[in-house]
Amino acid sequence: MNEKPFLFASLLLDRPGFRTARQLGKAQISSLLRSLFNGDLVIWRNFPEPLYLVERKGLHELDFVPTSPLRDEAARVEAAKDARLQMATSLRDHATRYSWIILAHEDVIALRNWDHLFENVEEDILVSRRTDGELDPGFFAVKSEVYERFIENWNKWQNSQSLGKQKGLLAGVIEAAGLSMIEFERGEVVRPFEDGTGILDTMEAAVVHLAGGKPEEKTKLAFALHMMHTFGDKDGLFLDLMES
Amino acid sequence: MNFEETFPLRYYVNLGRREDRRTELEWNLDQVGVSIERFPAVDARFVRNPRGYANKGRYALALTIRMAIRRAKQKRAKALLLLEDDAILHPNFLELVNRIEMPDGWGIFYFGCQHLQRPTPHREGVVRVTRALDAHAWAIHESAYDEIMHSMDAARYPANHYAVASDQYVADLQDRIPTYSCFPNLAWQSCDQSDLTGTVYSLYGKTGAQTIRPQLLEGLMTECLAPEVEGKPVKLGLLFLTRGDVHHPQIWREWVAQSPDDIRIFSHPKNPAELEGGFLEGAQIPEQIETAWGDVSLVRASLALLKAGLEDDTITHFALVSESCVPVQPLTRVLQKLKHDPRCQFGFRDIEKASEVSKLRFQSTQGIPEGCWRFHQQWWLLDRAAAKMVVRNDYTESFKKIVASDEGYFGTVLAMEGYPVDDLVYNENVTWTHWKKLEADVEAKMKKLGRTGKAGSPENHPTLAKNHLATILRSDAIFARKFPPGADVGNYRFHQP
Repeated sequence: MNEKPFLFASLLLDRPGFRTARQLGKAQISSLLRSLFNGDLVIWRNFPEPLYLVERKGLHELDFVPTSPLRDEAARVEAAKDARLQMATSLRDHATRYSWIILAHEDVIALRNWDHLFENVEEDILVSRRTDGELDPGFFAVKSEVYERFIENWNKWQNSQSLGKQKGLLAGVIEAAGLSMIEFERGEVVRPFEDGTGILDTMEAAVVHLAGGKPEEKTKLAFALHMMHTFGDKDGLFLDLMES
Repeated sequence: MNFEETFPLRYYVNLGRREDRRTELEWNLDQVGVSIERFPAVDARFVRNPRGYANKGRYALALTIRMAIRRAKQKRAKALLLLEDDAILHPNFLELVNRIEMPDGWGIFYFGCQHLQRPTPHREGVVRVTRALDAHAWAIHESAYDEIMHSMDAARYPANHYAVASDQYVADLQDRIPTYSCFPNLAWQSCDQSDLTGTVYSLYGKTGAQTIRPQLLEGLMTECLAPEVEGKPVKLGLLFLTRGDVHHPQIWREWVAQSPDDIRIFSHPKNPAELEGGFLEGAQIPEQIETAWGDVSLVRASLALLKAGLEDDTITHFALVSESCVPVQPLTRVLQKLKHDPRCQFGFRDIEKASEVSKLRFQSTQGIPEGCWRFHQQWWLLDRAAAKMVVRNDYTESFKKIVASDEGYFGTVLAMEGYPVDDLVYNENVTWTHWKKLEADVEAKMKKLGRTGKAGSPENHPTLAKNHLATILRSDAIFARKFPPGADVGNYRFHQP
């Protein structure tokens, strides 16, 4: 059992007129709160409307303005790379209060409590692997003891043209920082759009990363999975309420 | 032993997706004060080939165990404790385990298991396993790590080898690796959907006794705890907790006369002078406790009777009775019954089924694990092994603030001492009693105080009503009460063959 709580951070970046990141972020944070997430949640968002009008304990919503305009999806993706590093770097001073710092993209949702994923782990970083063998930068966790070193090397990696670039962000930073890593328990982190995980295995997972899906597909599936786990019961009470 | 020092590395294996079991087990561990880390189980969904095991699930479990042992080796742990996530630990687990002295040279130790062959007594609370299955709660000494890991490589066995599960491979080692288990079991499995078979089952009773091949263990409790009466004929110790002499001495005399060598009387009277010339004369035990109604002194007096009875090492069973009791079955039949069904007998309820009155009475008590509470009448029949368990530790201080603590002490203490009460005790009152309901005004007052339930007082029967006569005849009670002097109960000759 980890004695210190976790810190979860996610960046929500929407282009003007879009609400995909907001909707995914809402499903993400709601799913974490509903599965009794043990720790604090930090959201950086570029839209003024808060996720929750009524404050949620442990959730910190911070306004963020990207340095360049998000004219198209490519610009949004590019801006997100810098913004994520900026957000991760900002957590450095707080890291020691936590056991693990979990960094996720906006399209990650929780279907169960996550405590067990971090128990009894001796390595520095917890990762999952995509079907192409690359480490998934959309969901990983760093032990607080090595967070400073991790961020330092992430900054170096981001600003370098050569440093481990051929390996991808996460693998490159981990190697450069000389950190140890281990994959999350098999079956607990899935990417149904990307690796074709079936519906049954998706429903059994603790973490669903919706990478690879189109925005509308992601928001629909995030909504469906979250609603199913949070309000679904064998008697169908929620449906009765909605239809009454 | 010191639990944490003896088992420095403690894991429970659990699939990520079995959050239900994780939650349940962690709650149970928290209740019993044991700290055990989770070890992620290999998920059978990702196993391609069962490699000689019965199915992918069995292979996945074996793989998980091997990985846990490998981790223990890396950490140079001198012993590894492994739980499966459907394990249930006895509510008084830590206390009972800490009392155990681990056998020298042990290699495998089960906190609970399913014996396939009769084990042999080793020392209090521990038996030497000859062949047993299950892996829901066991420990491995470092000296056995390699052999167990090696044994679980099913691929090295011939294709037609009988064993298809990891616990079967381990069972094959039990004649080589010194293997012991707790007895009675201090850990068992919940009745839950199995990840291995997909079915809902448990091979254990509610309090841990094995339900498959129970005949293998018949008499083992006596062999372990009361070997002095093993194989001896039934002899009943009648423990009279009374004010003076019995109300119906003639009935008792006729009853005892049916088999005088198979019965012995012990008496603890409140007023010893009243025994003179009576049925109980000469049966008084030396220890005299000043008793009061509803007070823990009644428990202490009962314990004194039991201890005095235990000094006679030919007595196999003990029954606590009062002056207003009479036997309602012939002694010869009782002895015959105990010969073939030697179980303890008293009607009991656990905390979930207890009346509100019982719960209210006992809720102020501290230091008694909630799962151990058993509520029952004051009157019981215990076999010698259970009697020895009840007297081996004195818990009367913990019970002294409870009104009528004698209506919970014996069953609760048996449970605390590890006796599988729900599985081994015949749950029927040994003494028939009719409880008179409270008068309406008293009940209303009780309700106002928030005290609901079926509280009342045992009814006196100067004449036996027809409906009561029928219930006595239908019951499995050996005795009945309360019959004042002059009552007509003797006319029915219940006690005669």
